[in-house]
Amino acid sequence: MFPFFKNKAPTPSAPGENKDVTEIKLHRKKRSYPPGKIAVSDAVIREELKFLGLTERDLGVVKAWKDVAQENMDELIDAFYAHVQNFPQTRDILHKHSSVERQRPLLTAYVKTLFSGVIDDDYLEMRQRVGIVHERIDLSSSYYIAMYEIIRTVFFNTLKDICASDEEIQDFSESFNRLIQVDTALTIRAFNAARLEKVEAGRKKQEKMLKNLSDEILGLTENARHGHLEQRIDAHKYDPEVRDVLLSINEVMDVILEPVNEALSVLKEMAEGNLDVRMTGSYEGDHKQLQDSLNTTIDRQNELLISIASAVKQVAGGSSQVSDVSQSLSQSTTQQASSLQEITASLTEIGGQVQQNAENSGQAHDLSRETQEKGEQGKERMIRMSEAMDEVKKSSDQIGKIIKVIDEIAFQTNLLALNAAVEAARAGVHGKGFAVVAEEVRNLAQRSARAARETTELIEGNNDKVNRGIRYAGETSAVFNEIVSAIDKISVLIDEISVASREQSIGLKEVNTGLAQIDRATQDNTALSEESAAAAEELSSQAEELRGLVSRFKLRVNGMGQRAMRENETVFDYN
Amino acid sequence: MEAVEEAVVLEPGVNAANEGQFLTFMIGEQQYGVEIKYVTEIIGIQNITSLPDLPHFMKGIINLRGKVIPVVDVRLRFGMEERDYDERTCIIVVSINDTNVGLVVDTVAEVMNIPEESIEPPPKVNSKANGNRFIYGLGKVQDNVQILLDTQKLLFDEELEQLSAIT
Repeated sequence: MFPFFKNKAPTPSAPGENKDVTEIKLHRKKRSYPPGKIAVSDAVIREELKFLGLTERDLGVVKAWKDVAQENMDELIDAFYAHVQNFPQTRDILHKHSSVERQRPLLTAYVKTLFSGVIDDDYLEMRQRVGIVHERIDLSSSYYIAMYEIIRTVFFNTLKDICASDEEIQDFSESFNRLIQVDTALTIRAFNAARLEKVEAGRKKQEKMLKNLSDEILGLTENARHGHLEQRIDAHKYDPEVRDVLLSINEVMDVILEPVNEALSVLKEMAEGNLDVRMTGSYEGDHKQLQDSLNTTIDRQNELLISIASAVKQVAGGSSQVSDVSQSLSQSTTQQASSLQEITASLTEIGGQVQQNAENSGQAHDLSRETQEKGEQGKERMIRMSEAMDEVKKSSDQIGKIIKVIDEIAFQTNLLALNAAVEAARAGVHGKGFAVVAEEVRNLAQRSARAARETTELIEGNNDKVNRGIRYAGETSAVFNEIVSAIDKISVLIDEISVASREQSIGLKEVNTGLAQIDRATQDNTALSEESAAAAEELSSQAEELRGLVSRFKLRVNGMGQRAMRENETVFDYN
Repeated sequence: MEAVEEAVVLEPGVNAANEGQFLTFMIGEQQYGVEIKYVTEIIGIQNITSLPDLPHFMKGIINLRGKVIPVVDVRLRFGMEERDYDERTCIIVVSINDTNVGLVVDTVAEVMNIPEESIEPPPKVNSKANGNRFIYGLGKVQDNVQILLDTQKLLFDEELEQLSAIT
């Protein structure tokens, strides 16, 4: 502080010299003092000094009290610091930026320059520095105004104490006032310049900061526009008043980025196939929607993949079954094909048999017709035989009658013979020969009778047989009738068989056509079942692949997933 | 009958020769025999003219070559069941006490000799009923038995008288 005090240490004066000055009787009349010197290079300052009325004489007047000032320097300084210490604000500034001990020599040097009688660039520079410093520590001009006032007051008192003349005091007061005003003006000028500079610097700094801020924010927004949200504003580079805003912006970015980052990490996990993830952060508003949407998406994907896994499992099982079934079907169709060949062979055989049957039934028809005719003939023959039998019977009856006559004759002859025998017996010895004849006659008669009786018996037996023959012929005729009518029926039946055989033949052709179709269908079936088996294999392998794909996902096994699985189970149970 | 008597009388040898000769006839299955000396003639069945008020075995009369002859049905006489006449039915004309009587039999069999030693008397049973009064004896010919009839007794006296009266 107060560096100008160091640079410009006033030339110490002997106390006696000061006493000499104060012993000078001052007169109201202009008193001549050795003039000081104004050696200021800056024309503007020179003009200002003139404007303020400060002259080299004034400098000489003040310088004249140089020794007195030197002598009472401590008092001056003490008085000032005592004053400063009485006010908390100035005291705080003093203690804050320096201390009385450090300032004392500086202030001393400074005060000495007042009494140097020279205002040169160094002098100006010292005031300028004071102004700059005071501006820097924000010490108001009243501080050194007060200081000058205290110096002036103390010095006046000193002057009075040393009994300076009123003229001297007058001169000193005028000159010192002008000098103090110049100092004050210079200091204020420096202060203002410094303050202006500072304000300008501040403005420039602010401008620069705003520019930086603008650039930073624009860069941020630009990056954000291109999706780079990691960038943050280094808020600590900025003043506290904007820092909060920037921190707030950073926070906003963080707030924006946090769900994005979490979503990103979740999505990365998802990309790795891990679906057992969720956005767990606590978000609000759009981020909440994002979170909900993403979580819902994950849930859906879980459900979907679990469903897919289940479906894939079912598809795998199904395709395996289809494969098995297709193979079974293939085998079955192969068997069917061989069966069809056997059936075709059998049908060919049956066809031959049906043809044979038709021919046979035709022959049977002819035969039955012939048989019918023969039956009719047989019937007629039977009738004729019956007639012949009747003839025989009639003949037998006639023979019987004849035999009866013969028998009658034999009986009569027997009677005659008996009568002859009776007569012969009566004749006694004379009748003996006659008796013999009668006996012979009687024997003949008896033989005739016996023959007639035997013939009669034979004829009667014959008649019985003829009767039986007639009866049999009648029965045979009836049987022939039945045979003929049966053959009629047989003919009808054979005709029906013949018709049926023809229809069978037609039907067999149709069956053959149908079998050919079945055969083609079977071949198609075989091909199809093989294709189906291949497709099922393909499906199975693809299901396996799909299962592998699905198994890459790490699925959530609680919550939604379980619900989905339960649903699946329910569905399964339902099925 | 007289002629027969005469014959018997006149030609004892012949009579002797006649001894043991029987004309056999059939009633049912049984063969009966009558001595040939009583037999006049054998004829087939004739039209029999019934007469009133005669014993039931008396069938009536026939006209044999102009001679009226009473006819007895032997079956009825023997108390057997009556039988319709047929072409085999014969009438044996016998002469008893100069009376010709026709005996209707089932049929005539033959003339056979039955020696005296082969003839046994009828069994003495049931005399009260007088069943055997017509039987002269039982002739054994081979294994068969011929019932030999007593022609005299074949008709009761009164019956004969009646017959006589008729003739």
